[in-house]
Amino acid sequence: MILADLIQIATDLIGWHELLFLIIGLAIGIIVGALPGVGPLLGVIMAIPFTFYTDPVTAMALLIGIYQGGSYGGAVAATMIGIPGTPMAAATMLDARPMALAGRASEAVTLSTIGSTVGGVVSAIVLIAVAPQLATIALRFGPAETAAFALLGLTTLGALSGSSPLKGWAMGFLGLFIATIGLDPVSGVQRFTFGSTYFDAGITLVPLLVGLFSISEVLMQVEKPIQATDSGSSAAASAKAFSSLVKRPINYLRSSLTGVFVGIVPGIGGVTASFLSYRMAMSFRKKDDADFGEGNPDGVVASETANSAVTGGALIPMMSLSIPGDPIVAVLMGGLMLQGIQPGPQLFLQNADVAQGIFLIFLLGAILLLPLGLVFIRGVVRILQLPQWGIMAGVLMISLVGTYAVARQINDLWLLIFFGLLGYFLRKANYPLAPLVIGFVLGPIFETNFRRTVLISQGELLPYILSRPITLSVLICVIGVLFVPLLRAAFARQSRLGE
Amino acid sequence: MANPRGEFAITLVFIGLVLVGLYLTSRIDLAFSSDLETFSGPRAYPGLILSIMLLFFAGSAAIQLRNLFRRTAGSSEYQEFIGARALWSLALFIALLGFVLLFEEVGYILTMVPLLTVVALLCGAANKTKALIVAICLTTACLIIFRYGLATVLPEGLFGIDAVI
Repeated sequence: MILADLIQIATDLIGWHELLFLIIGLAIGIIVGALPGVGPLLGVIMAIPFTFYTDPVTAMALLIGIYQGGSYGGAVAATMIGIPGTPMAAATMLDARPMALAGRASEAVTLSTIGSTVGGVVSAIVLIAVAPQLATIALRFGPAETAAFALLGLTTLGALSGSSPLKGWAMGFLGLFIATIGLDPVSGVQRFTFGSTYFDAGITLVPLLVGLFSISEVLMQVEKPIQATDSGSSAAASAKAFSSLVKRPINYLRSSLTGVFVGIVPGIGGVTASFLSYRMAMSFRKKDDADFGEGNPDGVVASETANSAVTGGALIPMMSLSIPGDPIVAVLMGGLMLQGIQPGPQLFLQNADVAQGIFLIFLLGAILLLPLGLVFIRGVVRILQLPQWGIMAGVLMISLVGTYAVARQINDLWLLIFFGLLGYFLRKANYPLAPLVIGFVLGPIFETNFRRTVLISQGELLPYILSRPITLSVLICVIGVLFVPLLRAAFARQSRLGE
Repeated sequence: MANPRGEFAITLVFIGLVLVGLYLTSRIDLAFSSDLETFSGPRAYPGLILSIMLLFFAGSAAIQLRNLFRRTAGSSEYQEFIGARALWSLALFIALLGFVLLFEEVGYILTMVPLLTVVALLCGAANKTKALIVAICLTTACLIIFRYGLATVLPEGLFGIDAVI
C-alpha cells in the first residue's frame, strides 16, 4: 500500500518526459565524463541552452543526469585507457587500471558502477532528509543572513584555486564584477553598459559559461592536442563485483557518508572526497587483500562511491541556502535561475513541486545509473576510440549553435567569443576558471542582499549585525574559514623554523 | 608549469583593466543616491569589488615577479607561452570571428561546414576529405536536431526564402 502511494506521488511529480530527459542526461554524462578534456562540467554547460525548451523539472532532469553520469563516466576512461576522464577518477585509476591490465577490466568497471550507484542513492537519501529541514531554518533569514551565507559561499573561492589562492580570489572577484554589469538592482542606473541596451539585463550565463570553458578548451586543444592511447579491453558485468556489495558493505557505506559530508562543505569537491575515502579504505585494509595501487577492488569502490556521493551532498547547500559548493553545482544553480526559479529556502515554499521533482530525479538518476552504466560501457569504449579532432569539432558546434539558439541574438555569439578568448588567456596564465563562475552566480544574491542590509541598517551596519545572532555566527564562520588556514600555515612555518 | 613571463604579462594586463574599471566606476551616474559613503549607491559596490580585485592581482603580480627573478625564465621546465602552435589558435580565433560575422548573412550551413573543417584540421585531422565529411555530417545532424527536435530555425542565409526574393 505504501509502495503504491509512493509510486503515485512519484508519477504525479515526474512523467515519461522527465524520465526520458534523465536517461538522456545520464547517457550524455557517462560519455562526456569518459572523454578526457570534456568532462561533466563542460557537458552540463553545453546542455544549458537546451533547457530553455523545457519546464524546470525536465531541465533539471537533463542537467542532474549529466552531473551524475559524468561523475561516474570518468572511471570508465580511467579503467579502459588509463586516463582519468575527470579529476575525480584519478583515485579510481590507481587500482582500476592495474585491474584492467591484469584482465579484470569488467570487474573494475562493474565495481565503479555499483559504487557510483550506492554513493548516489545514499547521498539522495541524505539530500531528501536534510535539505528541507535546512531550508525551514533558512526561511527565517532576512537580507543580512542571506548576504552572510552568500559571503560564506564566496569563501570557497580560495579552496577552488589549487596552489595559488590569490589567483582564485582574483578570479572570484572578477566574477563578482562581471555580475555588476547591467542595471543597478537598487537604483536602476546603467553600469558598464556603454549605453547599449543589450547589456541592460546583465551578462547572461550561457555565453559566459560556454565561452569560458568550451571555446577556450577548443583553443587550448588546438595548441596541445590530447594523444589517444590504447583502447583497452571490452567490459561486461561481473558477478564477482556484485558480491563485494554483500561482502564489504561497510566500505560502501563509509565511502558514501564521506562523500556526502565532503559534498556538503562548500569548496572541497569530489577529488578530495575520492582521495580521502581511498585513504580511509587503505587504513581498513585486511592482511590478505591485494596492495592498494596494485589492483585492490576496495580502492575502486572507495573512490567511486565517494565521488558519486558528493553530488547529492553538494546539492544540499545549493537547494536550501543557495550556496554552490562546486562549479558544476554553480552551473546547475544558474540553470535553475534561468528558469526563473531562485534556489534557497524560497524554493521549498514557492516551487515545492520543483524541489520535490529534483529530489525524485536525483534518486532515480542514482538508481538508473546501475543498468545504464553497465549497458553503455561497450558504447563508451567505442566513443573513446573516436579521434579527438572529431570530438572537438562537435563540442565547438554545440557551443556555438546552443548559445545562439537561446535568444537568437548574434551579440550572444560575440560575447561567447570574448569569454572564450578571456578563458584561453586565463588558462595560459594558470588562473582557475571555477571561482569566476561561483563569483558570477553568487554576485547578484550577495549585492542585492548586502545593499538591502545597508539600507535597513540606515548606515549603522556593525550594531545591526551584532543584533542578529545568525548573521554574526555565519560571519564568524567566514572569518574562521578565511584565517584558520593562514594561521595554520604560519604556525607550521614557526615550528619548522624552531626545529 | 606555466611560463612565468607570460603569467606576469597577463596579470599586468588585468591590473590595467581593473584600473580602467575603476575609472568607469567613477563615471557611473549616481542617480538619486548621494549616499556613497554608506555603501548603498550604484558606484560603491563595484568600486569595492574592483579595489579588492586589484589587491589580489597586485599580490599575484608580486609573487610572479619574485618567481621571475628566482628562476631562469628560459628553463625547460616551463611551457612555451607562445608555442609553435599558438598561431593555430590564432587561426581558429580568426575563423570564429569570420563565422560570427557571416553567420546570419550567409547562413548556418555555409558557415558551419567550413568552420568545423578548419577546427578538425587544426586539431590534428590528417585527412582533409575525412574532416570535410565529418563537418558536413555534424552540421546536418545539428540542423535536424534544432529544426525538427527543438523547433528552432537556424539562420538560412543565402538558402533562405528572403534571399531568393
